[in-house]
Amino acid sequence: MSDGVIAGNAGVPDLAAEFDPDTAAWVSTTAGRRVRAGTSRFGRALRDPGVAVPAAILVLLVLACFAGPALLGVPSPTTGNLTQYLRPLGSPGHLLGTNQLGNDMLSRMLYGGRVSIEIGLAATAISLVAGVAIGAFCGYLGGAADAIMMRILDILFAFPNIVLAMAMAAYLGPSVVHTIWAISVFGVAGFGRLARAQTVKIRQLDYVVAARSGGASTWRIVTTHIVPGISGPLTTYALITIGHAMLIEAGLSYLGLGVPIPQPSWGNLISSAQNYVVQAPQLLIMPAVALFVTIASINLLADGLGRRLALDRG
Amino acid sequence: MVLVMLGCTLLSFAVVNVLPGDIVHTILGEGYNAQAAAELQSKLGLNRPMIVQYLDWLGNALHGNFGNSLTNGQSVIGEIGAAAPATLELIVIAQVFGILIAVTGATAAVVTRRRWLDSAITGIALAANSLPPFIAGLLLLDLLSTKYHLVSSIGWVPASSGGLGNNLQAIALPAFVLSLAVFPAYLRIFRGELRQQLDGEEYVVLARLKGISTARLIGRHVARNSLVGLLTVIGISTANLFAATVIIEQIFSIPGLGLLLFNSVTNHDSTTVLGCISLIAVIIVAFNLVIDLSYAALDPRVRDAR
Repeated sequence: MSDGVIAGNAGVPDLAAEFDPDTAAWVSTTAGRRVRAGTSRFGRALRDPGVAVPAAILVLLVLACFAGPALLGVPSPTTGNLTQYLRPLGSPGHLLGTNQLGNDMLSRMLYGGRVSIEIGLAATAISLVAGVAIGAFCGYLGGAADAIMMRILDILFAFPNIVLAMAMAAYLGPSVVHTIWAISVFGVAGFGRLARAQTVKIRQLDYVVAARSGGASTWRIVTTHIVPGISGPLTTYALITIGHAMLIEAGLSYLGLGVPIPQPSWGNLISSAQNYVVQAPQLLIMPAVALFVTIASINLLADGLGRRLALDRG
Repeated sequence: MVLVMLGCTLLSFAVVNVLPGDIVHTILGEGYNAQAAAELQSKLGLNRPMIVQYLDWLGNALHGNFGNSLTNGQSVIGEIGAAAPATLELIVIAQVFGILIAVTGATAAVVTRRRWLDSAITGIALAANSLPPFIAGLLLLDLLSTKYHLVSSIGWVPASSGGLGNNLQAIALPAFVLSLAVFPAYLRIFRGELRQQLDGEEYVVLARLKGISTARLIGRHVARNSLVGLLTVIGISTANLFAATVIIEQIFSIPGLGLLLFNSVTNHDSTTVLGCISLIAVIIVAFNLVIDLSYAALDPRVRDAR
C-alpha cells in the first residue's frame, strides 16, 4: 500500500520519500481504508475500482492516440493510393485495413482520435472557464447583474445550439477551430447555471462569510474560496461535458459541418463509411466502437468520481 | 417566457447577419456587380441600422409574415408549416418512447430483488448514453431494412396521403432511435427519485405496514411524487433533442424542420433560418410551459401556493 502521495492539496510537500510507513501520518477514510495524510480527494477516489478502471482505459486511449502514431510508425492518414482499396483487417502493413481511398485505417483511427479528443477537451475547457467565471461571480454578487446574466444564460440554454454550430460552419467554413468554438458555446450556459447554483449554496457558509468580514476583495473570495468549494460537482459535470462535446463533434462532422475531410475525426470517419457499410462494415464499426468506449469510460468515470467525491467530503 | 423567445430571435438575427456570407451575393449569384448589389441592398433595406432591420422583421413576424425563402422564393411560413408536423410528431413520439422505456426500466430496476437486473438496466442506459444517436440510427436502419426487411427503407409517408398506419410504421424506427438519446437521463433521474421515495419516506412505511402490494404502492403513490424531477429533465432535454433530430431526419429522410433548417443554413437562406429558429424557440418554450403547468397538477402544494 505504499503507493505514495498523489499531489492535490496545494502546498503539501511530498511526504512519501521521507516517511517511515510505521510512523507516517495516516488518516482513515470511508470503509475503513487508510491513506497518507495529504492525499487529495482525487487520489483517494482513484482507489475505488469504479473510478480507477475507466480512468485507466481513458489514459490508455489518450496515450494511444497521441503517442501511438509516433511509436507504432503508422503511415500518414491521408496519403494512400487507390490500389490499396478497401483492404480487410489484418492485411500486411495495414493492421486495420484501408478505406475506399487507400488510406490506412489504423492511422486514421489514431489521428482521428487525437482530433476528437482535442476538440472535446478544448471546447470543455473554454466553456468551463467562461461558464464558471460568469456563474461564480453572478452567484456571489447577486442583485441586478445576477438577474440579467441568468436571463441571458436562459436564452442561450433554450436556443437550439446546433443552429449556432451549423451557422458557424456554414458561413465560416468547417474547420477544427470553428468546431471547437461552436461546441464551447453550448457548454457555457450549462457551466454557468451549475456554478451559480453551487455558489449560492456555499456563499453563506462560515468560511466565506469570515473571509468577507475580514475584508477580502470579491476577486479573492471568488478565486480562493468559492471556486475550490464548488469544484466537486463541477468536475463531474466537466467530465460529462467532454463526452457530450465529443458526441456533438461526431454529429457535426457527420453532417459535414465539423472537421473537414480529409483530416480524420471519428465523426467524419463514420460519415464517410456510410456508403460502404455493406462491403466493409468495419469502416463504420471501428470509429463507432472507439467513440462508444471513450464516452462510456468518461461517463463511468464521472459517475464513480461523483459518488466518491460526495462520500468523501474532504 | 416571452423574453426568452424574443431573446432567441434576436440572437439568431444577430448570428445570421453578423457572420459573413452576404445575402446579396446569394441572391444575385452570377449576376453580381456593384450596381446591382447596391440596388438590391436598398430594396431589401439592408443598409439600415441592424436594430431597425430586426424590429422591422419582428413586426412582420408578429403578423405571421416571415418573408420569402431566398433560395426558392416560397413563403417561409408555408415551408415551415409543411415541415413542422413531421418534426413535431417525431419529437412527441420519441419523448413518449423515452418516458415509457425510462419509467418501465427504472421501476423494474428499483423493485426487483435481483441485483443483476438493476445493474443490467443501468448498464443499458449507460450504453445508450455513450452512443451517438445517429450511429444507432445508421446501424439499425441498415440492419432492419436491408438485412431483415422489417422496416421499409422508402422513408417518410405523411399521414394525410399515405394513411395513418404507414405513417406510424415509418416513424417508429426514427422515433425509437431518437428516444435512445433521451431515455438514459430520464431513467437515471426517475430511478433516483423512486429510490429516495421508497427508502426515505414515512408514507411508504405506513403503506407497507398496512399491507399494500408493491404494484399498488408504486402505481398509486410513489410514482406521482417521483415525477417532478423527471419532468424537469424532460423540459431541459427538448432543446438537446432538436440537435439529434436534425441528424436523424437526415438519415431517415424525413422532411421536417431539422432538414429544412440544415438545408437553409447551408444555403445561407437567412429568412428561412430565422423562421425556423423562431418556431423552434416557440416549441421549446411551449413545452416548458406545459411542464410548468403539470407541476401544479401533480403537486398540490404548488397549486395552493399560487
